[in-house]
Amino acid sequence: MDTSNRPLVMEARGLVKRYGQVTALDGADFELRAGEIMAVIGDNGAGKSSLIKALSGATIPDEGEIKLDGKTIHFKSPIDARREGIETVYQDLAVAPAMTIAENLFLGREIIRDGFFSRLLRVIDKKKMLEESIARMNDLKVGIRSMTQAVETLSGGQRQCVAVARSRRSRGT
Amino acid sequence: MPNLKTPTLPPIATLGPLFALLLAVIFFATQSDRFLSVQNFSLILQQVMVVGTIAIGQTLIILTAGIDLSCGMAMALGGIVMTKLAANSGWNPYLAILAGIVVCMAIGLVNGLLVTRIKLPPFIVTLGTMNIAFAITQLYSNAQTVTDLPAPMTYFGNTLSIGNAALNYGTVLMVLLYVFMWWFLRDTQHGRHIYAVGNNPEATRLTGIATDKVLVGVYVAAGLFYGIASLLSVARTGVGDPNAGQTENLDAIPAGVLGGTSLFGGRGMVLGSLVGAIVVGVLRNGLTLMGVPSVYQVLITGILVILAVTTDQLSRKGVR
Repeated sequence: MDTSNRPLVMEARGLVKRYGQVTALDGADFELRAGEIMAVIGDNGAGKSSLIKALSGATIPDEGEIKLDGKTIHFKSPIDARREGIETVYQDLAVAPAMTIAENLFLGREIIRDGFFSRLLRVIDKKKMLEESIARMNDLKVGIRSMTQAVETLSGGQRQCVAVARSRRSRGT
Repeated sequence: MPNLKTPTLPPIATLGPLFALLLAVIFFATQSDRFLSVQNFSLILQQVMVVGTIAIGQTLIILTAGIDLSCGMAMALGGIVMTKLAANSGWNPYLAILAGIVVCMAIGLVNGLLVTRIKLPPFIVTLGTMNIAFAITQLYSNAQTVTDLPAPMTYFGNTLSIGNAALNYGTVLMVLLYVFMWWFLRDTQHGRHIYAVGNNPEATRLTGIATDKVLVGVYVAAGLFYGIASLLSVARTGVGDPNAGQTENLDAIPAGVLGGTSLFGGRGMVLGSLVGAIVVGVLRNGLTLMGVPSVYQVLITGILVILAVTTDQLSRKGVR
């Protein structure tokens, strides 16, 4: 399918990222059009992860410009990127092993209970988070018996599911 | 499918601290006939209130995979600041107490900023601030004990009697602080983020949590608990003591670790530290009753820390 005449969703020009003396990105360009699924391929150390991190707000590039739907954007953190609809699943699965599946799914965007006191102290709504977790994991058809088990007790594949589920919303919402 | 069993913590891991406490109590009961008395247990609880309150702060920091060697010295400085201001500079006692607590929080802030901004290891940072706090305490007090304190400063040293037992207000306050922090760590967003930062800092950062803010917040909060501990220490002894906090500095870490908090971060429960603090208190009290010189108590505490950390390391091996 030819997508070259579709509108640009995301583009980056001249991205540079240096870590000390190492230049991870040296003027990288990037284009993503509507409906495209893109794979980035390269040797170890080629800069794939650095590129993805720059596009998802996990690192701030030293130079270059990123545009989303034609607007220039400056992500300061992964939260900024997520607000614009960019979700990331990391190869090392970026989970907190001793925490439960439900907690990992909601890490950084916990559901806060209603009420003045709860908002003030930011009391989390465990029940809602649990229900939502079950719904999301069911969407992925993962057979995990309990959402309150620690992620470190899961197999590699199940952990992968947790990481993927974190980047999605359940069908209900 | 593998690994589908619901993991409940192995009972031994959660009950370990209580088990250690029971063992210590049984041992000392056979060694001294004065040990198993209501009066003695009241005394232990009074002795534990200071180290127990410090251990809350220490536990918060250990949960983030840090360590705070400055805890006891920060507390000593806070105590000297609040007593000197009230007794010698004529400050309103409540304002003086507040100033002492703020000083402890300031030390926490310095620790937190050095750990997050310059990325120094907490061990080295707090080793430095420990010495700085100690020196300032000695300089500011001229190494003199501060006496003639106004009544509000010793309020928490007052006791309420329940039968033969005498419980001081400070111990009650300490227990309330434990219950609050237990709830806070379990049920609030901040609490869960503290665990997450200790568990996997990079993953936590990638979810967009401002991990540096969490860390600085933890060090400042720890300072708050050290400040409260200063007030309790002043209340218990009735003076501002420039040499306070030296046993507490050593005891707060085993209190946390014996209570089941992992030095690798992200695992543990603050209530365990209360049990851990009582274990350390029972140990010191029992050894004193047995007539063991205090230098051996230091020796035994040192061995205990290493034993507790070794157990921690070995029990995590399978998981990590």
